Amino acid sequence: MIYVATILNIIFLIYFLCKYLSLRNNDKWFICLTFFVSCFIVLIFNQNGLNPLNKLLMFFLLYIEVLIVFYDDWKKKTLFFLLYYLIIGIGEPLSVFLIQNFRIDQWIENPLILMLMIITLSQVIYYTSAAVINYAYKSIESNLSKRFYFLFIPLLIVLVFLFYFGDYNTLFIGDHILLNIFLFCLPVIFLICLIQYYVIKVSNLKKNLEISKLNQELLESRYQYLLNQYNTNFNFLHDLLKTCTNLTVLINNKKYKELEEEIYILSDETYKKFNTIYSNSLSLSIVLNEKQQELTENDIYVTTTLLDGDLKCLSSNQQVYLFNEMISAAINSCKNFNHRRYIIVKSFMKEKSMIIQFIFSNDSIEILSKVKTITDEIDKRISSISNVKFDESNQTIEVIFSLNNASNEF
Amino acid sequence: MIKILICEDDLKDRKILIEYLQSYFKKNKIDIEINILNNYESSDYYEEYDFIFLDIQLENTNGIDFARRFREKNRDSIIVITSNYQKYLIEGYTIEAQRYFLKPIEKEIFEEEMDKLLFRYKDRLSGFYDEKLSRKRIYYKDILYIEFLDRHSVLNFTNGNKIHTKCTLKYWMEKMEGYTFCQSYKSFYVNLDYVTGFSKDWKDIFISNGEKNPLSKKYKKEFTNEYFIHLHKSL
Repeated sequence: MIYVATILNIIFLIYFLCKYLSLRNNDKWFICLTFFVSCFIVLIFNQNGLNPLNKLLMFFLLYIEVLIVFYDDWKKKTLFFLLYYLIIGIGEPLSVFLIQNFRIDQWIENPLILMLMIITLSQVIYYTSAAVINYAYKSIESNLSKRFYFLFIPLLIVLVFLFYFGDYNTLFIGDHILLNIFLFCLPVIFLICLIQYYVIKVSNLKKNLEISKLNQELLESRYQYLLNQYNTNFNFLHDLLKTCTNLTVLINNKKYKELEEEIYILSDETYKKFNTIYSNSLSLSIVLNEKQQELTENDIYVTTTLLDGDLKCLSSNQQVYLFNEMISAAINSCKNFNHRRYIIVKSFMKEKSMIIQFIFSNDSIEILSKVKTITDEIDKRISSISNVKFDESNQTIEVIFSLNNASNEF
Repeated sequence: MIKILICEDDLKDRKILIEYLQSYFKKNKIDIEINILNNYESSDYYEEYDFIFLDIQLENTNGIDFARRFREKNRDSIIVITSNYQKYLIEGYTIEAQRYFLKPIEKEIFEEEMDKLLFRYKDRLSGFYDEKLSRKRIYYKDILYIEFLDRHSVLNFTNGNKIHTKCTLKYWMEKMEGYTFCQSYKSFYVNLDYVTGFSKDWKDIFISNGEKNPLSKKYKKEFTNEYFIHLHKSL
């Protein structure tokens, strides 16, 4: 009977772990080999009954096998292996207790049938627990927080308990004190797990709500962006049409000198507008386009010379973040400046580093600390080193970011 | 007297550029001589000019090709690229252009950038003459770093040459004070112009010739500070 129980437990082990972990090799022979090795390990230790040392050895050998056979992260493998052990550890004594409690052992005299009943009941408990765990796992899987792992603390305590007192002789023979402790612990643990489960579910719901809010904000900002684009294009085309009419009038009146002037103004304006929204960096162009209306409203001229528009040392998200923060800071700085407002963005390549420079108008040193706060935050986020300077003679703020080109140098 | 060559075929842009240059240098009390290049095939431009303002989209020739020919004969001039389009500015990188101006050029931006160019220009001319060391004038821009080794200081040059002197490092530090040099280690005095980066552990600095020089804890703060001050002045 012990062989039957072992084989069934190993089948359950493979079934349970395969639900959450992926095998290194999905070949039938590989699964069979895993099954036989597991059986061999269990039977070797189970042959002459289990003492705590044998249990521990068997536990570690099976654990090593799981680590080898399955592909996933070791933490995940450990987690589900411990869960398997818990199910087995709780299921067997529970089925014995149920058989004894309902006095079934008194009706059936044949010990073989009695053993078969215990094994069957244990298997029912195993697969039911697996189904419950599977349901709970799937419903909270998407957003597993750190709190999820606290769920296992009471279960681990039970596992340690079962390691020392989990055999039939200790639990069911004698004054049953340990059995009572075990039975008392089960509903308590179940309750704790249930509370934890609902706490996690609620926290996941909160997260989902936050995500929906963010999506809503994103949608609104996209709408705003498109509206800005529309307004800018509308205004530009409107001005262009007006200028075209003026040009036609000048041609009709043969005022060629004024016509020349008008064409110069038109071409300068067009170049300026074009160069404000276009840069060699896609990320910077996106940011400039987004802030185009604000730049136009505040009459801020932007000129960019990025020698390496790709900025490979930064991810696209980091690039957009850097440019967004710095262009916003530059716009705010320019707003307080009453003379010609401009923003210069430059990048330079050095062999081991990349330098990105922002220069923008401001006549007061007071803004330096505000800019410094922003650049410090950027440094943390993109692992750069920045330096901020106030140039009194040109009335500008200059910011330099130094970034590493190679992975281990900056 | 600073000699400036303007390669610009658009009359309006040329006029604006001359106006800005005259105004800027007058403000800085520096005499200038401005020449306009009309014949791009002529060899007159091989003459030593300090600044060249070059429009990439010239009517009859490609500004970059012209600049390449120019660079072969004249390594020291400061080339400033002007263009209506950003994509052409980047080509200037291949001819070691020092600045890029997008047309129409804004006066404030022009003056801001010219300050830095002037700093570079002055820096390039700085040097000393010591007949014991060399028959020619030694320019600071040609020195990568100075190392003190076995009671000798070694001047390491950008072309790979080395000059051994009996002077102490302190002597060089006093001589070069105010220029683009900074001490990175007790025996290293480095030209900040040629620093290309720092190691992640901040224990080394990288020099443009591929060498790695040590950066000691004692000098780290001052060195990085000076490095950024230099970047602010020169970029």
